[in-house]
Amino acid sequence: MSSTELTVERLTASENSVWQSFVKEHPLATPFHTLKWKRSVEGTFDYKAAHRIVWDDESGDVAAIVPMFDCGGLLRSTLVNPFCEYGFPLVSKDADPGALLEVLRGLAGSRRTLLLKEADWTGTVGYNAAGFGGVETGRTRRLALPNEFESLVDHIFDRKLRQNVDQARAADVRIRATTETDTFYECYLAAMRRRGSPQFPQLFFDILLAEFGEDCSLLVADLDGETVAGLLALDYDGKRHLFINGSDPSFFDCRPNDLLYWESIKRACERGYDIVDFGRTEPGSGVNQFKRRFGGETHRLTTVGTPPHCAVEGSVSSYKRLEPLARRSAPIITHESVGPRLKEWIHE
Amino acid sequence: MSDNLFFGIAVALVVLAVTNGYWWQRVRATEKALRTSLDRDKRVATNAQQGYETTERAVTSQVKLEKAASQANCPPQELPGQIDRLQEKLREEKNETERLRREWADSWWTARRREPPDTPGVVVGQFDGATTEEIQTIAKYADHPQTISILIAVSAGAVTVRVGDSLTDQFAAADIVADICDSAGGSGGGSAALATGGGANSEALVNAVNAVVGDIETRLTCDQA
Repeated sequence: MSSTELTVERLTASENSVWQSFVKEHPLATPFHTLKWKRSVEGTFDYKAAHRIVWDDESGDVAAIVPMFDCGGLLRSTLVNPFCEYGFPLVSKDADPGALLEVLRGLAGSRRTLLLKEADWTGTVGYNAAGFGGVETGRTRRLALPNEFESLVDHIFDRKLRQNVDQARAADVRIRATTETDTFYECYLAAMRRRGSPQFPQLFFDILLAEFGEDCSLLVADLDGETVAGLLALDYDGKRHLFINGSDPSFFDCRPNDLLYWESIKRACERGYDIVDFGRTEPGSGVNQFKRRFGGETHRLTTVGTPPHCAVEGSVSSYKRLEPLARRSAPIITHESVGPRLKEWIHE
Repeated sequence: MSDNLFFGIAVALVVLAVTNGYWWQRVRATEKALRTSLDRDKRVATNAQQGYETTERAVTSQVKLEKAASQANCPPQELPGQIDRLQEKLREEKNETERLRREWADSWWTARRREPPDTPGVVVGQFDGATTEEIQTIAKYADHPQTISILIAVSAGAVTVRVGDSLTDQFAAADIVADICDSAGGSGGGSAALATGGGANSEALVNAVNAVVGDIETRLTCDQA
């Protein structure tokens, strides 16, 4: 298949069913490729959905689909699937990735950057030859689930984790599933203030719960009737993606996060899922150490982009340099009228 | 030279320096980004060459391995040995099952031989919970030359017919099974001495066997006369 045989089209409402069935059939699809995710982002932010379907002109079949939003910008606009780890193209097994990337490169220009969030396991290669640059954005940890949760407890989980979970239970931390985001949002906001990082608007979580239904689970940890931590997960095709965690730092001694992750993994096992994905972390960070206790394998995450010098826009490490300043400015950065707008601007 | 000229040169130099700085930075960023994308392409391609197409598949294989190990109740590294042990156990169980079937068949025929027929006849055995393999084993041990044995596994909807050696000139087991299956449904086959049918309706099977037994006894009586 050569590049002349591929046509890129913007997804229209009449092709939603084509998109949906391609995602459903593709073994590498994630929640971030679904129309539910598209509707959630559209319903919360001022981004224009710019999802693309790539057609094989000869056979008339779909060669690939690419989820992306036009996220605007001051001097350049950016096409990217924001706020998630996985925005890679889902490529049909008959399609030539090299030819596909050649035609996708045409979406970028002097005033527009195209960013694709890749994972090593997709097997898609040829980015360099097609003129894409790359930036490593971190690692994700993926835990293969056995039939029995106890097998994880016995063979995989770290001893320190088991102690922490015992500590949480001894403190009478209780986990419950909920669809109410109010108390979870307070914990999430406390976590964002601690980090000096702009927050999602609460509306985003409400829309995710409404759109994903049973495939979006929100667990909260209660202590003495007060919610002290929460964990929101998105499920797709036997894989659970631990998406957003928030906790009140004043209750860290009771280890609510250890128990929350433990319980979410346990419930994924009970549903017969294959994999739990812990999401992106920075190597060497405290969050990475926390997640390491649960076992699993780490995988590199790379954002590839064109023009190549703009690939760095896909990295959050440049913002990390501002962390000390951001922590001091946390009350302003996370103010309800500032934080969500900043988040939308940064779109990472 | 006038001051204006100096000023112009100074501005030009600053602009040149800034422009150079910008392009130097841009070239550096481009090189770095292209190196990263090249490294990624190489890494993913190497993974593919090493026998697993994608890391995701490797994770899936790990999932399957761990699930299999969990089902076999052993750590993943002991799975090959555990499979060997389970296969050996399965062979032993099969041998034991076969021995029990043989014992059962022997006991059944020993009980029937207490009153051995002195003339050719038909023996019908009806076993409600037996399997096809079990009635075949019993039929295999039916060694009376003057007896036609018809054994029914009712719940399995199966029938096995054994024709004694001295009667195979007159009756073929495969024909008798075919007659039964014609009435009761299902299908079957075998030799003149031993045949089996299956897939029949259980209730119709018993009625069909009774009808066939009547026919055989009539023929045997006529032949003796």
